[in-house]
Amino acid sequence: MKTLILGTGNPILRDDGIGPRIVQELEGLISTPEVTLRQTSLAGMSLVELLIGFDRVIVIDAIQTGGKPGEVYRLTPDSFTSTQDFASHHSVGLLQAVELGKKLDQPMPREMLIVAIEAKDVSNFGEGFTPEVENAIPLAVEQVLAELKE
Amino acid sequence: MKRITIDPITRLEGHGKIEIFLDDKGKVANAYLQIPELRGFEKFCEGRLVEDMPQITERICGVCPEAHHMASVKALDAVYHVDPPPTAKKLRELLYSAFYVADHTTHFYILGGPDFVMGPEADPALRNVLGVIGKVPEVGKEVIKTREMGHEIIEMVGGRKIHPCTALPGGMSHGLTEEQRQQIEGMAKSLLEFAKLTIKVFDDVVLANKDYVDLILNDSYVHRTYYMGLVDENNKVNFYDGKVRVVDPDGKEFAKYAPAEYLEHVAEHVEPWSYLKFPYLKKVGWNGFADGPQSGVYRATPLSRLNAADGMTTPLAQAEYERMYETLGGKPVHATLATHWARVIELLYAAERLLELSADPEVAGPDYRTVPTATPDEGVGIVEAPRGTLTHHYVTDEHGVVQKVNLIVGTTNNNAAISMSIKKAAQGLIKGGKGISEGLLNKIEMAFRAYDPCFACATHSLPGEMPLEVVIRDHSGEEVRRLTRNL
Repeated sequence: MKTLILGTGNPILRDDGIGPRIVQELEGLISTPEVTLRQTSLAGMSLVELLIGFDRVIVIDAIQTGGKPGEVYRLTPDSFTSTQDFASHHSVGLLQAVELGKKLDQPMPREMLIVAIEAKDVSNFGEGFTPEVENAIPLAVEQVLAELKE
Repeated sequence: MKRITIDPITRLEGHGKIEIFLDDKGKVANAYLQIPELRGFEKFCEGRLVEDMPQITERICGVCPEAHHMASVKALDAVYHVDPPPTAKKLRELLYSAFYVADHTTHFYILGGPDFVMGPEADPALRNVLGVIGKVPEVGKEVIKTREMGHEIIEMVGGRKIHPCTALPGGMSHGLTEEQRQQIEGMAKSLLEFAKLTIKVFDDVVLANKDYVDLILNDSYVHRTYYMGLVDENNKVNFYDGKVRVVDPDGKEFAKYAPAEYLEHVAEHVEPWSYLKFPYLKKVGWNGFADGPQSGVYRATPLSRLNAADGMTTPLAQAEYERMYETLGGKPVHATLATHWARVIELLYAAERLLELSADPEVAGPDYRTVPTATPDEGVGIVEAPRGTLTHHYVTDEHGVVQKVNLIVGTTNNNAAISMSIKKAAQGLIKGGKGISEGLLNKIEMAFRAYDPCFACATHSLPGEMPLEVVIRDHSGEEVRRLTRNL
């Protein structure tokens, strides 16, 4: 199954860039041909285009739920209902992107998984992460590798 | 009415907030939009090499990195006191035109278009990006194709699909081969056909329907403001280069200035209840969130660009330009929703211009850079971003290390007007404290979506889907109702 591992985030907006950073870590650890690694800071229709042709996508993303910074969550599209308190722009954007892609008759992933890291600071420009989020990198990497083994 | 102090420190947690204040008769007295503040950009840039700014500023926006890249490199030309050769300017404008075609197409069919194609009274479940595809089915595939072609052209000229990297102070790092030029010309012809089709879609679906036309002209969405846009030496619209022209609410030229002079014309007003800055025309002055020639509030949108110019340089777009003004009762047009029409006209212009530039043999010429020799110090670069006039201003030391940065991004120009549009839309609906419903949320969103705002863009929410909270307060400041979207 063709899998896309997509790290979304802005690399100059502190913890917002954790998704791409984790993909960077994974570059050295994954070499199977069916798995594609990508980092993006794009929004909107460009997200739809990134997903075209994959069976499964694992999104790695910053999230703000009010929880403990550095927590790593494993989420699916069903996790994002209006009763839940999840405020992740990228993931919500991606869910809509999949819907949109289907409506545009594009081959969209059947499976979507989100590995989300609770962010502390996504409001200040800067490179590098808050310590809590930096420390979550190995855990998030493990989580993604575990998903691939299944 | 009781005076309320809104604490600006309240974190917006990545969503927008609109606060509507009612007077003691239950009518809308004021409306304010707040969006999350992203802090520290200038500090982030200080100490960096100014040549890195095109790559850095591209990251501000997840939707229009190309616009920032282009404004940034023009600022670099100015910082290094170098004038790029004609081939370089044509290459940049070629790239930029391809970007406009892709961006305006996406906006019309996916973002703003749904407000019209589905209609404001349509079922909310349909009245979103997905609904329009149902009404005009084959168009979905065409949108994707258009974007693919646009990105391919950008990659050929810019080195990468969406984050171009070939623009340098004084020109470009490489040129086009004759073969590439011909490839681009082929794609440009195809893109022009689709632009023409889009005009037809707008005609058939929007203009043919009297209800829509009435909606466009509805007074709830009209503001008589000043208008700003970049124009060439003949006062025709140009997205990439020229002078900034401002016309007054009657359409008369009020100011025309070179980028380096922008601070003589634009100042930023600050309000205690918001992080947002409110640019206004210095020579008129700040007289509150108001319409009219006494108020320094101006707008910078596709409609503004058409209002501020005397026409378009390409024939098909010029014909549409004339038709729009004839239909809507002359220049300037003040109806905010007409921005959608202006955007489609700009799409046509961008496609015609793309074809013109790609057919020009000089665009594949060998002379694509003049290497700067002057000591860098300070410079301003201005382009028209799809969402409004975009200004990059850099100050460096003699080694080209950034000392100061000032940016006015497209949407910022419109901050005051957006609040005014929201207030007016709410006033049209809320009377005697009644009329607060889901429909209100839709109408308010329509008012500000016409500006195609680029809020919180650096955190890349799918544009138009930014979580939004509308809080309505009575005359003593007590919350009467709270409406949310995507929260």
